[in-house]
Amino acid sequence: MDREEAKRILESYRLGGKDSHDPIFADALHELERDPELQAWFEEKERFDALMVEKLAHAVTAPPYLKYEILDRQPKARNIFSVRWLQPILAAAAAVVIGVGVWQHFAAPRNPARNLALQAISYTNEMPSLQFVCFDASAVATWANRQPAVRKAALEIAKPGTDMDMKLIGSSVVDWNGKPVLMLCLQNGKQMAMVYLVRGDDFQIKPNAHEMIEKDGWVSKVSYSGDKAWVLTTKGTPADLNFEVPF
Amino acid sequence: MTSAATLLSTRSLAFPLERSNKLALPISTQTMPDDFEKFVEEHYQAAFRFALSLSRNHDDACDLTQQAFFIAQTNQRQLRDRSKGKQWLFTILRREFLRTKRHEAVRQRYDVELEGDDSLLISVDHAANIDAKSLLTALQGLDDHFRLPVSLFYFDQLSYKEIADILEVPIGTVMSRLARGKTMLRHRLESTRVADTEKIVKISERGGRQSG
Repeated sequence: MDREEAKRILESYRLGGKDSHDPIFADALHELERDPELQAWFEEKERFDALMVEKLAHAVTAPPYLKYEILDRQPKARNIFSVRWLQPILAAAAAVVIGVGVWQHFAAPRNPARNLALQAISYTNEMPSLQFVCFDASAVATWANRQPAVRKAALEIAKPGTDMDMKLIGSSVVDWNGKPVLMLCLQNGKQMAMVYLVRGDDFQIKPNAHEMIEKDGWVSKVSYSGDKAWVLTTKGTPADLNFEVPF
Repeated sequence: MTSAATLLSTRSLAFPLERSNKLALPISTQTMPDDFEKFVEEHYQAAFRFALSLSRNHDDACDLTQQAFFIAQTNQRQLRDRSKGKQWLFTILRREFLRTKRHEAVRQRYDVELEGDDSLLISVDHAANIDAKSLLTALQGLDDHFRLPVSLFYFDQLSYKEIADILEVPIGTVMSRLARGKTMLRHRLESTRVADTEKIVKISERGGRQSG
């Protein structure tokens, strides 16, 4: 390698020895070690490069607003309704959806008791929290009956019996679709169950309603008494709901 | 508050309240909005400098930078190695510049400045007195083939390989253009210095005659 070729290659050699391990520079660096004139040239080149880097570092600055303009111009999701060929398909789909909705509202058989039973299973499966826990059933009933939402909706319960198999051990007041629900937790040594007490008219439950459903190993039974709907829910079969509610 | 399930486990009651799958919320890994802001923050200055080197016009550089970031975000899935984000952005910038300038005739003018005569190259000591604006003017005066690699080398201290990737030319070509471009820059700076010195001499001579 002659001196001029070494110069040509070393012009790409970066400051600070960043390229010292790049084999493309190996021969030129070797030449540098044994050629004093090339060394002098290289030192001058390094000084010039350092000067250029330093001077140019602050010579060009992007305008301050540019960053915000870039961020403001982030791509938006394409509006599917603006795609012309999709418009008739979307219109047809919308008509079907509206038609099904209207049919469901006016013609399809409705079963609020079943929906309530399903909601009870789903809710119990999500491990609801108990706001009050006490192994004195009377204390639980007293706590429940003092809750403003319970009193407002007239969901109070009677004083629990003491000689029942299932004991009242905890309670919560919850909200389902904007309607108050009194949740009562019952247990004996082997079994645990939830009772959800709601106002019948809040969930369109008719006075003669009676519904029992099983789903995913759960069983839930809706019954109606004195303007209130009772929903008993437990893990197991319908036979597991054959207990007397202690209040 | 006490969970019914907690109660069950502590009291060993037979009410197997199973943990619902519904509670296992999917953890999103799509954090692009935050990432993009960081990406812009890290690279918009360098992108603007390169855009200015490409277009040689402030407003065009702003537009070009915005457009490159827009394309980058739209095609973010193409970026496999995030450590090469800057290089990828610069490639987009260059391609976008070429696309917008496609209708213009491709200039093949090469600077025909003298090479080999070191007396026409500015010395480091003289270069130290050149102001940044004159330096930029000299750099922007170079032909595209030389201006772009030299700009990337000095502004961003990129390696010849990275420059070759961005400009999509062979590495040998980049090395040659870097060597020639830097020499041309030193010629231009020397010409600027000599011209400025002559101006000063003329003004001082005129001033001397008027006062005399």
